[in-house]
Amino acid sequence: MSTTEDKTRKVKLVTSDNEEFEVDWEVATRSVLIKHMLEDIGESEEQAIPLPNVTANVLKKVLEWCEHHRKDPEPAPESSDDNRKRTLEIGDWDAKFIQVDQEMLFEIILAANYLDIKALLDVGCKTVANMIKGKQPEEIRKMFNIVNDFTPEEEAQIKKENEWAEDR
Amino acid sequence: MSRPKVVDHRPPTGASGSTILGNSSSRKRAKTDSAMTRRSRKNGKLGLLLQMPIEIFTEVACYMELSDLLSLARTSLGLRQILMSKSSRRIWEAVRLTHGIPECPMDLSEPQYADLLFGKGCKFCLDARVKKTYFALRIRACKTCFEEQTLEQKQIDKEFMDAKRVFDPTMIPWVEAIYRNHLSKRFLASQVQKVMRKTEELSENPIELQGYITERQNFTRDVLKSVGPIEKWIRNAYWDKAHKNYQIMEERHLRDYGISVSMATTSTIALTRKTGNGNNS
Repeated sequence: MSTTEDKTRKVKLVTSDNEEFEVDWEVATRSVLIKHMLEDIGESEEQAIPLPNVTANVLKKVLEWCEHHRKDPEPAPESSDDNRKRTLEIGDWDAKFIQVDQEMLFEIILAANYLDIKALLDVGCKTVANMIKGKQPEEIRKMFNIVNDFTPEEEAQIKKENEWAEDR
Repeated sequence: MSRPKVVDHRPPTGASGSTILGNSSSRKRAKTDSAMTRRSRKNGKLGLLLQMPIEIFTEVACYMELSDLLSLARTSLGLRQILMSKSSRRIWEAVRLTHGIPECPMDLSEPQYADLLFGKGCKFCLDARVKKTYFALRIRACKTCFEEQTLEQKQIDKEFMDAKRVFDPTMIPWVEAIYRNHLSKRFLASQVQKVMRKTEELSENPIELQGYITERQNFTRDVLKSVGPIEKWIRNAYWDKAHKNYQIMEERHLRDYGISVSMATTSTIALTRKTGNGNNS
């Protein structure tokens, strides 16, 4: 597959709610999933790629990110390694981009995971992590609507206990 | 140190010549809608965070700090089960790696270690404000409880002498602390008793006793060895934080008064503040 051709090539994507998007190859292939699908279908360009796990309003947002990051270099293979040192910074543009309500934030994360866009997934995960940073358990519960289902005895116990739970 | 990895999609290094393009972890990431199997004991409404596939929760957790993992593990039973399960060890490791925190000592679990580093509260009287950790003793304690719960080497020596025995201080970790105006080695009383009882128990069995002594000596050496890097990290983290705060303060002063703190003497700061206020009003 020659890259000069790819630059001008358009890709059609169809969302779960049946909306069609036409984007540049370079933008669409920020998604490793789409990239692999394109490789699989080969040169039959007219074929639209179905994305049954993504709705139009989410894909629109994701494509906005892909558009802005279309020229980014491919991530190094070791960047998906567990044993790497993670950077905690979020770029200025990304930080603004990800200022969305909680529901959209999680939708973007799920879509980035499904579409396999590692850099976007990272931005989403860092954002959620930042929301939790420095918060006390009660504040976290409130924020994510988590129900405190500890019994009072358990609650007293966990203040002292930090051992691995027995793996059953 | 090496433990079996929970998930390892990476091809072994050295065999890269024959790998097929794109068979690595990147493709496997795409299968997402598995594992939506989180349960709550009550039918409470769950936040979106808990409805995420476990691998995404893991990713999020890896960007937090150890103190946040401890807080999360105290929010609900479900999150506690996840974070305190040994299969989550890689989350705690990833967070440590990101923040440059030294390896978890062998005698501690990751959550215990995190709690010693970032938790609060005296182990004995449960006073929630206490922050002082005695790493070699693996406890956090207020001054009063620390002095109550630890013994000076001289005291132990004397007790042992009365019992016509010799105290071997290499079998129990200690901290050096100032007590009644002099610096001395202090040992956790509960550990002294435990070791004393065990050596008595084994006194009829020299081979087992020797084995126990060696085991305790190795343990003590490892514990004491682990303290240095940890305390060094804490000092550095403190320094970094102080430095950052100082920079923020300096920037604020530069902005407000047009003068750098490092250049200004106390009197000039006071002076510029006065004139600055005067101009504003």
